[in-house]
Amino acid sequence: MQEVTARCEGLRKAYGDRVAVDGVGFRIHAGESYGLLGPNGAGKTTTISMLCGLLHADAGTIEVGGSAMRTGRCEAKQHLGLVPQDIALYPDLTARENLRFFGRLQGLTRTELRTRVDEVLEIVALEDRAGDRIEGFSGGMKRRCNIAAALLHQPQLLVLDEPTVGVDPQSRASILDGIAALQEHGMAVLYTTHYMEEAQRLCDRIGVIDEGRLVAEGTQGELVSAIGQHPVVRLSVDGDPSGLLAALTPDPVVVRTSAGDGRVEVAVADPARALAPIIEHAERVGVVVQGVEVVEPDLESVFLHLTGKALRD
Amino acid sequence: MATTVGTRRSSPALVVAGKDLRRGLKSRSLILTSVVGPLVLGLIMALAFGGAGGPSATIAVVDLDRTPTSQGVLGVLSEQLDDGPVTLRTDVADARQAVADEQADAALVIPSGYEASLATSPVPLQVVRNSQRAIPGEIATAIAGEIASQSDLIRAATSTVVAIDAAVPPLADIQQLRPAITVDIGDLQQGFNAALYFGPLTIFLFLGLGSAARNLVREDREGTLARIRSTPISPQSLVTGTSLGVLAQGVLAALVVYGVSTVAFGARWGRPVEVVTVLVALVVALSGLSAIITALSRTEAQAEGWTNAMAFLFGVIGGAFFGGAQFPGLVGAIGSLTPNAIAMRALVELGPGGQDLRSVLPLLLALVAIGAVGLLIGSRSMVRRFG
Repeated sequence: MQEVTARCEGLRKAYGDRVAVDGVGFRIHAGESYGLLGPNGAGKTTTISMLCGLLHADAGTIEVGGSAMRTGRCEAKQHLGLVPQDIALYPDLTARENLRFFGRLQGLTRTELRTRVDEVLEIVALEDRAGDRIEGFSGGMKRRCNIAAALLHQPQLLVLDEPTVGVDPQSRASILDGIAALQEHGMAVLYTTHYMEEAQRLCDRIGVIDEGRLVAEGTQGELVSAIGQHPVVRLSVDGDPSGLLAALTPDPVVVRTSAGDGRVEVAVADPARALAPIIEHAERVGVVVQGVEVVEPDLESVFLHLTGKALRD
Repeated sequence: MATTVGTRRSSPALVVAGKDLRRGLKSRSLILTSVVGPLVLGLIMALAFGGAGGPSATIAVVDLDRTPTSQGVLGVLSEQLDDGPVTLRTDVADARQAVADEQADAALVIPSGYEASLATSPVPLQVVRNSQRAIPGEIATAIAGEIASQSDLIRAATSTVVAIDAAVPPLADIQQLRPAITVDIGDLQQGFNAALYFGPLTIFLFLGLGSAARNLVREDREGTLARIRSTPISPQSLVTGTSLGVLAQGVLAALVVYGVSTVAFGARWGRPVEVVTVLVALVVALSGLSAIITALSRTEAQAEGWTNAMAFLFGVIGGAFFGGAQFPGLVGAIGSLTPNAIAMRALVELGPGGQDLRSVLPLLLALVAIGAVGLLIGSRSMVRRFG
């Protein structure tokens, strides 16, 4: 088991009578990418704010890099790099000036800064624009520089709060590749996003938060299994599908069936084994199959199942 | 605190202050608010109130007493007001008309029976003012006050001459005794000369009080504050840094206004080291007030409101143009405790030929204390808010 980089236990935060976070706890290991997913208002931002020492927790404990996190000055913040959702840079300063400022606040010496600023600019492919003001950057370049500012002091934990919002596909791919490379170097990542495909691609483990509580946690496979979701064979058909449904129901490879609007959906345990028998049943009862699609259960299904909401709600 | 050695870490407060200064310079807002604004306003005032070199006034004098003593006073005024010639008017109506027509900026009337009153209860000189010409009116009023306060000397001088000659003393004899009856308006003119630039400077320093608060609120809105707070920086360092930025901008403004007004416009402030010491102490006091505004403000509108309220209050009761508090009674007493009034008092006392720094040490300490207390209150409030 790898070393634990960040640990939250029993986090609680209330604003008056409204409980924003209630008993949230998770651990992130070195080199691991942990996705924190939840609908708007679920408590993600409050949780991240407490984890980063921006907000005082009513209850619970937080450790980053083995040190207790709290608001104000503390050692734990030396082990943390925050990439806020907003472009947290000064538009009237150059990329290099921004990086030097945040690097100094992280305690880097001038000698260290000279080296690190060049290195992170190279990581985010902005070395040619180091002397340009941020206000002249494209959205993608700003996002990349926003990430660079959190990498200067080589933190053990990188917290990324929706880092690809409003970014073009090319920059998004570049950002995701960069984060994956950082993980390989042992950096732990806490990632929030509204893009399910990013979470699926990037996150080793995922925590689903809803109404202030962590309702599920695990790898993508574990989450899908936990909610009992099965792959679905989706048929586009001509003719009355009732005969097909009747024929499929007793088949042991079929878990359940449904039909409507010229479409038949058959949930199965193993699509590879079930596909041929399903087509044979259709031919036998005179249903013409015009198209076949196999839909694997994904995080979106998990999310919908657990929260009753789509991720972008 | 270290900022220059390559292997040492920079003080977070200095880093924050440096960033604010850099942004101010890049956006030119620092130059506009700290340099151009005060100088332009000072120049406008100088031109409006008597030329760039300082104020002067044309004072009309009406001698209704027509005695040797009144003639002697008239002679002294003619010599002392060398920047603004004294013109003689025949009666009060003539003087009022001259002031109304702006042939004279103000008028002094030596009332009938003035010489005779010196033996018992001296009657004061009357002043004819033009409401549109504030400074000359103040000068004339001040001169009348000076003469009234020296009525004993004037009486003594007159008596001496009478005793020597036992006859009506000629005007020439009165003027030989001028040291005894000199109306000392030299310091008065000097004070106004400095105040003409000091006033606009304080106004712009006041207007800059909320800049730290506005910056912090804007950083909160734009997300940079969250990033700063996720680094190992204490709330105290944050508020100290923002206040240091204000202090640096204020010192810069003060030095530029002092230097340019002295070199280009002939303003006379006093000895450089002493003047700079007072100006820096004033800026320290204002930085403390800025820290309080920063801690109190959650929105830019609040920062604006606090700034305007403080600038208006201090500017009015402490005086921003004419050398300190102008109000009588309790308001005047409170006004004399404002940083701008304290600094003005120190500058006047230190003016050319004036006292040395030791004599105004209590005033300087008061300014620094205001700054320290403000910073302490601001820091504590920021700790409650962020820490």
